[in-house]
Amino acid sequence: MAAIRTLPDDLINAIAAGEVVERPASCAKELVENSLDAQSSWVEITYRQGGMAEITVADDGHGIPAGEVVLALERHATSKLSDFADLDQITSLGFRGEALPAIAQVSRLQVLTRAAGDQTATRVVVEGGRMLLRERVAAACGTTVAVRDLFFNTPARQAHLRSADVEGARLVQEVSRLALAAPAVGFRVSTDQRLVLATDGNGDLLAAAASVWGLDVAEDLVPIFDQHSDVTISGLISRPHRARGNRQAQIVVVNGRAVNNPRLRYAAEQAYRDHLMRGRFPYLVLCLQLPARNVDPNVHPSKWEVRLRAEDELAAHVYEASRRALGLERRVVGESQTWASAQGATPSVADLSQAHQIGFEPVHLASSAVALGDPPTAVSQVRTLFLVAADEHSLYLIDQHAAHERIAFEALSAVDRPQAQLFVEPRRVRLLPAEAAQVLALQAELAEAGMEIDALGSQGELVVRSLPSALAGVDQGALVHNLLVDVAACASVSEATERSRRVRTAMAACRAAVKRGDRLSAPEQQALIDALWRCAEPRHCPHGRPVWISLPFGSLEHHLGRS
Amino acid sequence: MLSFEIPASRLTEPLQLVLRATATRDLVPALTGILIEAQDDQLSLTGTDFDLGLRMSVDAKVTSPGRALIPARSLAELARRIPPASLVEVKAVDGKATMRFGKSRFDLPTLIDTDYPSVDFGADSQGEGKTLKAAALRHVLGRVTYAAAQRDDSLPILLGIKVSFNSDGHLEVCASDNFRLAWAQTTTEAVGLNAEVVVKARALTEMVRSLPDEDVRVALSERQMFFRSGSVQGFCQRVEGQFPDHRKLIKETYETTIQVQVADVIQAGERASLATDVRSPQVILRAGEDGVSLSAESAEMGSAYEDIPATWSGAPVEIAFNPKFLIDALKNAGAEAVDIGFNGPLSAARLHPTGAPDDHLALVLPIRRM
Repeated sequence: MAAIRTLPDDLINAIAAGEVVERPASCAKELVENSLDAQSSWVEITYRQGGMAEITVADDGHGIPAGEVVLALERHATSKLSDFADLDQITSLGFRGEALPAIAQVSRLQVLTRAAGDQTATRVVVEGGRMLLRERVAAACGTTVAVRDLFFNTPARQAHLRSADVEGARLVQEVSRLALAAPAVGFRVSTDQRLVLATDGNGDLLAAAASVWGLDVAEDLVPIFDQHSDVTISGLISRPHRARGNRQAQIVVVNGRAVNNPRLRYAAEQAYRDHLMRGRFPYLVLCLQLPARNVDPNVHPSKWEVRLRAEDELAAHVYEASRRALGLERRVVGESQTWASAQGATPSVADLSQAHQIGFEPVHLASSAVALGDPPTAVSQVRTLFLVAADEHSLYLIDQHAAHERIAFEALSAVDRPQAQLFVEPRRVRLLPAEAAQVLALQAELAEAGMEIDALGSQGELVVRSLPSALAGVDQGALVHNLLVDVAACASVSEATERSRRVRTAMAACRAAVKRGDRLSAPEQQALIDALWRCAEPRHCPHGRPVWISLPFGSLEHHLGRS
Repeated sequence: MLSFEIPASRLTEPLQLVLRATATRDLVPALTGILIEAQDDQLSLTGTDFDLGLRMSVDAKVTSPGRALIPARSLAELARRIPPASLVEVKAVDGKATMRFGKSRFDLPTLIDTDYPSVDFGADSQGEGKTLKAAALRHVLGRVTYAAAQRDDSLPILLGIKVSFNSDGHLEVCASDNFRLAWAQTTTEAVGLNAEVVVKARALTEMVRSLPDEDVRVALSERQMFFRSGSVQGFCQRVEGQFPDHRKLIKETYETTIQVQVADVIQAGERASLATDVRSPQVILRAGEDGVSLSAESAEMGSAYEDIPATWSGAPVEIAFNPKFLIDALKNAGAEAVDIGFNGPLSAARLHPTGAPDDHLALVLPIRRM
């Protein structure tokens, strides 16, 4: 039986290295964060074989003074922290002194660095933690770290790596986050002589987002801004129709550090509640500036997670700021919904530079936005599902059901006119006992929307005394029962305003369901379109599906060969 | 094999009439047809959509007795266009009905007549039936039909009109979509009939419209209400369920009463409703020392104020209505002036013709403003 003994230092170091550096992407992240902490104005990253063969990170930062280079390669050697008090005031990205030594333990590392005050640069070569060479050479200010053969001495970890393509993609994804978190730093990422990502580092977040996500996405980003006491929230979020099937294009930046904070991300997503389909996620860059004492990044070795003080309050602010930002962009004609962009037409650079001018002043955005014009003229109804309409410029195909839903939702949501149309005789509705209990828990929200309910003694039976007047005159057969069943599901939502909105969404959906398949006369078609155009957000149903698509006649003619 | 001859003038009108009862949607294809049965120099034309059934008999020269089920719409449309003076010869055999008149010949495909349901026009119940004037029925129904629910997916009972006969010849009808209620009564000759039924408003309206302007014999079975007048027979399917009881809703006294000219309020209401939000319309009626007014406002449409000439007594009141419900009630009041009673802003307003409170009344439920 093996005796218990203390591990040799190099083994301890190799194990600890795994906590910080688990794959090429995390290695690149550590090195780039060091570059950012060194006040670099540009960072150039090149890699081979997904970073497994080589990662080189070069910057023009303040470099490491000649006398400290060796120290920098020792574990827990850092320039960023000296005593406990500093832990409360961390403003740099790295601080533990773990990154460089950890990488040095598991790779063949070369560091070439020259501090601004030094005459010459220092070159150090380390292999598996052992220094092989240290020499003085001539080089410009800044630091270049080259990491070769990552994990060459820890085959177990190497075995966990995926293909070069996958690891390379992760590396770029990681660097993209950092580039968005530091728009004032120019990033260039290339592999095999191929430029993968470049940001110009002019400090404009929208420009950085355009570089990372593409021009077409950048066109659909709106700035968010909020400031209260010592917290500033800024960033970009996408308009509802510009969403993705995953959360990869969401980053939260706290005091310049790209972090994973599901609570804040979720708060921003909540702002889209009525506008996004389930399983669709907005693009977002949320930048928070808050006093260093409110942040504790010392939770996880990779610093990927941070703790924030008063996180619920912050989340509420993020939510409000996002709502405001999205509310401001209502009545802007969504380019992406037109036929032209559906065909893949790319917005011109001129469009983007216009977006630049808009900058971070949300008011400008609203006023310079193209307003939704007069409602188009109804042309016809197709299969009792769609309305065809046209104005001077475009042909519109309108989803009748979605239009009804949007109109009903806004009628129900308007705070200045919740009205309850009273019943001649209260309606009795029997639900499953559990559903009835859920509905009763929503009594206040329902009453606020115009539906007054009470329990009727026996289990599951309710009386309904009124309907929201927006629903009256439609139907009372299945409506009331279906509505209550749908509403019951909203009881589990904890946030009060969100609960109210869900209740109204359910009501709107019910009303629209009743109107489904209605054959509409010409005046009715027009009335529906007019009512839709009066809505605050006529382009999406409360579930976030688009209500219409428009086809500019120009592009129609183009497609039909009439240019 | 069915074959008969008939002057076009005698065929057109019965076909138009029976057409009203045929189904417009082809859920049951056989019901989109008119069943023609011929025997003993008599044709019987039948249409039904289950809720309503109509049968009319006409004289014809039957050359071969039998029956055929012919698509109603094409048959009626064709019959309408045959010169009235022509003699039409109809022959139906092997899934095809051939119509000849003048120099024309038409072939219509027939439906499968064995799919047609057996329809009961109450021959057995007629013995217990009672006779009243069709005009009386039309009169009371004209006062209340508007208040019935319209949509197919409404609570079934609310699609109906409650018809009550009591043994001294009293006839009452009542309709309600649960947001408003209308009730009317009259005295008929149908003494001895004591029953209360609910039938679909749409069916009953079509039925009464199809009756000639003379005496109609009404009888009831467990599931249907039967009508017979001259050559027309019909039935309306009864609807099961608990109908709102207007008697519980009418109060002994009203805190506020106003008397207005119907035309004044309709016009004012129609103008005011232009200023309401169409998605959730409401007008506010105020009655008090300053007189009676209707007003409305919305963010998008502006606001309206209408002073209404009226007499007012009792307590001041401020109450909100869906303008459509108020205007519908006024339009169907059948009088030039009405009394409207209120018991505060959250109780039903009662409306009846001035001077004739027992003939007709309407209740309109208000909107609770929050």
